[in-house]
Formats: sequence, C-alpha cells, structure tokens
Amino acid sequence: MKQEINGETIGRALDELSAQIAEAQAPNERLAIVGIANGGIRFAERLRTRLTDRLGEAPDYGVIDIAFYRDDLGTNPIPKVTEPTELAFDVTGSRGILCDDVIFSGRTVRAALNDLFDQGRPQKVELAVLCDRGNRCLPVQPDYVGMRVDASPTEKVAVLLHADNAAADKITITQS
Amino acid sequence: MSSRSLSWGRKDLICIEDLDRSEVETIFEVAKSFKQTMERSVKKLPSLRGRTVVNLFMEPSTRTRIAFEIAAKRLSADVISMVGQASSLTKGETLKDTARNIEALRADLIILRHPASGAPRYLMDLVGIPVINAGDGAHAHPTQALLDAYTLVERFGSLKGKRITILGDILFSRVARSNIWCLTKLGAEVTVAGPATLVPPEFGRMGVSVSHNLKEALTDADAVMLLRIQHERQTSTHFPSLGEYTSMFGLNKERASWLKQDAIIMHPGPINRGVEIDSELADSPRSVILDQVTNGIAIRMAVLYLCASANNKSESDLLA
Repeated sequence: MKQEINGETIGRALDELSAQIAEAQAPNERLAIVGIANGGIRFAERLRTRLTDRLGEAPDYGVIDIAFYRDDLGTNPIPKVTEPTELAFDVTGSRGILCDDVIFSGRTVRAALNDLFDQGRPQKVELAVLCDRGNRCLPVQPDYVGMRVDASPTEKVAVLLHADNAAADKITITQS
Repeated sequence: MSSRSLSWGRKDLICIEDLDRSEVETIFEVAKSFKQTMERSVKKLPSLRGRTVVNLFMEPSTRTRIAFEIAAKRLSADVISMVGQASSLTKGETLKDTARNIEALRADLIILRHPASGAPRYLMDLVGIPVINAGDGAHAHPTQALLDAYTLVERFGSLKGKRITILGDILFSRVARSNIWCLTKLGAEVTVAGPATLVPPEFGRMGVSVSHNLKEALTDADAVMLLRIQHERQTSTHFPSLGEYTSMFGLNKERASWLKQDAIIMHPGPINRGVEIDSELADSPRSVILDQVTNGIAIRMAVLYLCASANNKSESDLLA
C-alpha cells in the first residue's frame, strides 16, 4: 500500500468542507445535498449531518445514479444499478451540492449534471469531493475539496466510510 | 464509483430458455430502475443516443410494437418501424433480404416479430447486431414472459412456491411457453389449464401440472394468467363455440373466488371481455392488466439497454 489516510484526518476534512459550504450559503437559498451513487452517498450523508448542525435545519437530500447517463455504453462493463436516482425535493431553484467521494476524470460529474438538469433547473450547482486525485479528462473542477491525493492513473484510490463508526473510516491508495 | 458490474454478456434475446436465473434477475433489477425514471417529468434518458433501432414486425401487433417503440425512444434511440404483411412473405429468403437491407442501413439493433418460429435466431445468425425476439410463431415471446414475471415479483417478492395458473389457449401460445420457462426458473409452481384440445398432456414435460378441471386449477392459486382465445382460428376445431368456452372456462366472479384471497388476475392483452374474462373482473382491483402494460415498457427498456451494452461489435461515437 502506498498511502493510508485515517478517520481523524477524514473527519477534519468533512468539518472544513461543511464549514465552507455553510459559509457560502445565502439567506434565501434552498440547499440540497446530492450524493452520486454509490461512492458519494455516505460522503453526502456525513456532510448533511454536519450542515444540519451548522445551519440549524436539515438541507434537502437526494441521490443520483448515473448508470443510464454514462458515455461508455458498449465499451465498459455495465455498472451495477443499486441506488436509483431519487430527488425527493424540487430541483428547480435549489442550490444543489453534488457530492462524490473521489474525483478523477470528471466524467461522472458530467453525467450527474445531465441527470440533474433532466429533473429541473437548479439555481446553482456546486461540486464537493472528499478526495481529488487529479488527472482530469474534462474541464470539471470541484468547488469544495476535502483533500488532494497524489495518485497516478493506474493507482487505486479507495474510500471507505463506515455506516456507524467514523473512527474506522479510511482512504487507501494502492498500486493496482 | 462502484466497480461492480451486472452479470450480462448477451447481445440478443431470443427465448427465456437461453437465460439463467441470474440473468432474469439482472433484467428485473435494471427494469426497476427504469420504472422509477418513468415517474419523472422528463422521461427520456440518454443511454441509446445516436443508436438506430429497427422495429421489424412481420405479424400484426399493437401493444408489443408500441411498447418497444416507447422503450427505445425513452432511451433516446432513433426508431424505425417496418410493418410487413405475413401473407406476402416467402419466409426465409425474404427475411434474409430484409436483414441485409437493415444492415446496409447501419441499424444498431433489430426487434423482430415473425409468424415463423425460429425466425429471430435465424436472423441473429445473419447479422452482427443485437436481435430481440418480439414473438415468433408459437415458439417464444420472451419480453412478455419477463414483464409478467416482473409484475408477479413486484406483487409477491419471491415466486418460490407461488402457485400460478395459466388458463386458456396453451397449445398455440408463445406467451404460455415463455411464461412456463420463466416462472419455473424463478421457482413458481405452474399449472396450465383449459380444454383438453388446447392443453395437451405433453406440457407436463415442461415441469408444470396439466389440468382440465377449472376448480382444481384455480383453487388456492396465487395468480391466474388468462390467455386470449384466438377465435379466428379455433372455433371450428378446438371447442364448439365461444359461448361454450366461456361457460366452461371463462373467469367470472364465482370462479375467481376459488383463488387465494390476495391473488391477482393477469392477461397479456388484448382482452376479449365476456369471453375469457368477465368484464367486471377485468376492471376489479385484483386485475393487474394495466400494471403489466406499464411494466412492459420498463422491461423492454432494460432488455434494449442490456443487449446494446453487451454489443461490442458495433462502432459507437462515444467519448473514448
């Protein structure tokens, strides 16, 4: 293993991210946290919990599954569909924060934006990631970055956020 | 992003026999996600953008053709419908020519309905692009069976040990055959029932019970699947009259009371009200006939999506 990042470091990054998102919140904006399935879901939940504490009310919440918006149909294996897109709030007029655990090429974000805009017209869309591993292929940059990691395109960045034991959270970078 | 993948490597769907249970479950899983997208205001998804789907229907069909067309359009494919007349076909040779023409049009996928059993497999061997069987002769109608089974799974969860009775014209029915394969694969106990002339004992070899006694076939069943009586070709030979069929095997209120309390009534359509089913019963809360139609779109979206995904032969204009 090349590198391991522990739960404490991840916790601090989540605190900082939620502080930044809360600070940028304008009085009349309707905040919506949107996790990109599957990796972004738990990250989005963590952020939402922290934002609820900071803002005094729970932001809207939803999940986007980009399976049907991918641009590699027929060239890569079919992704497992586990968390269908579900946005149980009015997308139109909201301040949507797309959340993913890792940003790499940027393709996932492009697909998520397409899905989001098929369901309404948000006032604003921002991107929060726990981990930026660089090597972008599209002009997509996150607004909020938990940490930057040094990983080559062939290395594997795995984020493991536990359901009920944040202390055991970890990010590992390994040569695949 | 998840690196897990679905178990699917099939570019064609010819019949249910070809599929293993996990493939059937994969179709259901994808269909479930597609069904949720049908509740959106924008129902279109970009999965098949830029692909051309040819709907080749050599036999009359309304529901299946439209369901496939809607499914393909919801996935953003360009759809061309070609409707041929069965009477003008010189089966094999004409189909071969048609296939060559479709290939020359650079289509990406063919959906075929054909009066001759085996035509879709014949076509599959001729062309490199995915072929989906939309019904061939008395052989198979895989997407109908999948949508029927999906409707049952939606209602009951697991089909293990569920008693399902298929009633009516079993002999000539590709729907019955495909359903027998699909339901038994999923662990259901299937009974086929109807007049002896339409329900020969040979069906027992497919792992189902054969019954000519309606009360026995319906009692304690979890679901009854009615099949259309194709009176245009059967009245003269298989039973004396439609009236007699209805009096002996038509589903009415009294007979429906033999089913389990929470049993459902299914029909692939088009229904002949007052023949195989009492009109009032067709509109009752126990009837899931319209759910079947809705599920038919989700299932066909799933099949198109999966078969197109598995087709590595076709050149695509995707971002590499």
